[in-house]
Amino acid sequence: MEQSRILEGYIKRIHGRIITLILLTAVLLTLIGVAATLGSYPISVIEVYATIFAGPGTGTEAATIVWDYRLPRILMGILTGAALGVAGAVMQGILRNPLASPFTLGIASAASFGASLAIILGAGVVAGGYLIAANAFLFTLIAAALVYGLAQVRGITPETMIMAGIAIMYLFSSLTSFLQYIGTSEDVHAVVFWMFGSLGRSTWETVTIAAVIFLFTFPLIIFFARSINALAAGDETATSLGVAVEHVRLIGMGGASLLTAGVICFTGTIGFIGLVAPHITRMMIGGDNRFLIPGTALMGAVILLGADSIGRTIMAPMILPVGIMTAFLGVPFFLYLFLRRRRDYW
Amino acid sequence: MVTITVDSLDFSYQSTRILHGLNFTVGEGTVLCIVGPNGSGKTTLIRCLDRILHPSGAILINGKHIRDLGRRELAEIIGYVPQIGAKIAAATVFDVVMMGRTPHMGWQSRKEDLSLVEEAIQLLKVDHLADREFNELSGGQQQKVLIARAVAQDPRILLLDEPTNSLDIHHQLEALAMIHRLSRKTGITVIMAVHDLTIAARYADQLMMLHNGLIVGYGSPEELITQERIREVYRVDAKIFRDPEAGLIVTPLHPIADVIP
Repeated sequence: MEQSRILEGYIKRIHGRIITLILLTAVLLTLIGVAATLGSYPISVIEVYATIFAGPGTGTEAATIVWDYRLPRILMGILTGAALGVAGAVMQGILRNPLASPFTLGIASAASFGASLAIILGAGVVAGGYLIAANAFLFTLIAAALVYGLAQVRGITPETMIMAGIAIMYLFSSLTSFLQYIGTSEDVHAVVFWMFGSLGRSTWETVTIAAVIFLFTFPLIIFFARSINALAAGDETATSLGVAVEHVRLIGMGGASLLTAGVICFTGTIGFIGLVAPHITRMMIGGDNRFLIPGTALMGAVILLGADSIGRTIMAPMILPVGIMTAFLGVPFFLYLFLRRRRDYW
Repeated sequence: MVTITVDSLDFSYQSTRILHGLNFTVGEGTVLCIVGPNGSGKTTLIRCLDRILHPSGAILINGKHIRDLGRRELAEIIGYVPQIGAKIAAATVFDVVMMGRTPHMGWQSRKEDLSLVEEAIQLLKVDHLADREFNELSGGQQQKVLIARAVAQDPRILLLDEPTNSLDIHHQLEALAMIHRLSRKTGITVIMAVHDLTIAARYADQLMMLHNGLIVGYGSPEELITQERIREVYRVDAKIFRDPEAGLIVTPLHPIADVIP
């Protein structure tokens, strides 16, 4: 009888995790409907779902509003929240550090530098409409490669990667400051606005690009969930359990960087999701990355879409950039968790 | 069933040589205890055997060089219980023991994995802790959970680095007797670093004494543990008793003052 009690507890937890994932999905789907009603054109939640299920190109006014204007923004919000959340969860996992996120590892500040370079100097790898995005994307990956390369000199450990990440963050921050110093005031304004983070620039094209990157990277990361679990016990233990530690860390870091780059190049830097969404999810469903990673994707999407919806309504008709809203929501929440978290949770 | 053969094993941390050309063989189903003073190389040797460290020389399992085995292949054969100290964030005892199945299972755990985890938890008598967070446990409880993880790994060779350091005498005896029984029952080879000579003598088939990275003795506890050797290696005067029930009992008396040249 004792035998079934141990397994019962485990199976109960697994079921709890699955139910949480289903609930989060339901919240997200509801939020999509609500978010699509927000704006100057009045439309009800039921009409929104009817319009979405009817598909694009029905020619009605509601279809144009929902499909052409509101859905790209909503989908970009979901992708951004999911991608940044997953990136944070993976970085925290592979580095065994509760403070790891795309921000603290310098990746986001490199994106800002890339965007500044395009805005202020007009310099970049591709010309035209994607100049800023391509630069931000490229510099995000350059920063990740630099962090990894620097850490490799001393051996890839969580400590060396975090030290390298902090150095890279300061390097790109000061480079961005330098560009702002020499830029014209309009350019500086544009850079600052980019760095607020906004979903206002979303189109079906940017959504498609971000979605492709997400759909390519997410399965790769989730495939290594068990290995990331073992890493929680330390490099030595993970090694002795058959995990190719450096390999997993390279793929995790690469995947997290790609996820981050794929969204913030279009939205600008959006803070706190990458740090907070994994923690909230971990407190709810535990540290098993097979559930934590998809859960964080949903949680990140819910928080970001919620923050954007509040940002669009709280001072309407003025729209507050989502980057500002996530920090407003994120900081108190983070402090709340920090103050009341269970002892030894991390 | 496995035999381990170690040939000319050398290991250095940067310029400091830790292990000096070790040669030994451990037969299948043997419980080998490695003893020796602090810094003698016990932990380093255990890490070398699991290829966490990369020594020169050869470590052969059934004649096959461990260098030629894949990381996962090696993990199917060797289980390793490190010293406690590392925290494991947001993981229950069950989750931690489940990690032992990592080399055997894919993304999803099979029925077989779950029942081995359950058995290991019961064997170590930590079933009442199964749902608790690992980080909340006492040192002794954590130690038992880490042993359970290695047992769930179902290895052919079990390496343990001072597995009873944080356990009280009751749990020490319980854990070591369990490991000993496991070895007798399943024929797995056990190699563990142990500080307490009495405990080592009681549970070991073979003892290996290390001193400054050299093997200074290898054999049965009876042969190996002598007053002279303890004096020479530990710089301690000790008395050795033989009790029909407890076996060899080593009682350290006092340290010998170091002679300053």
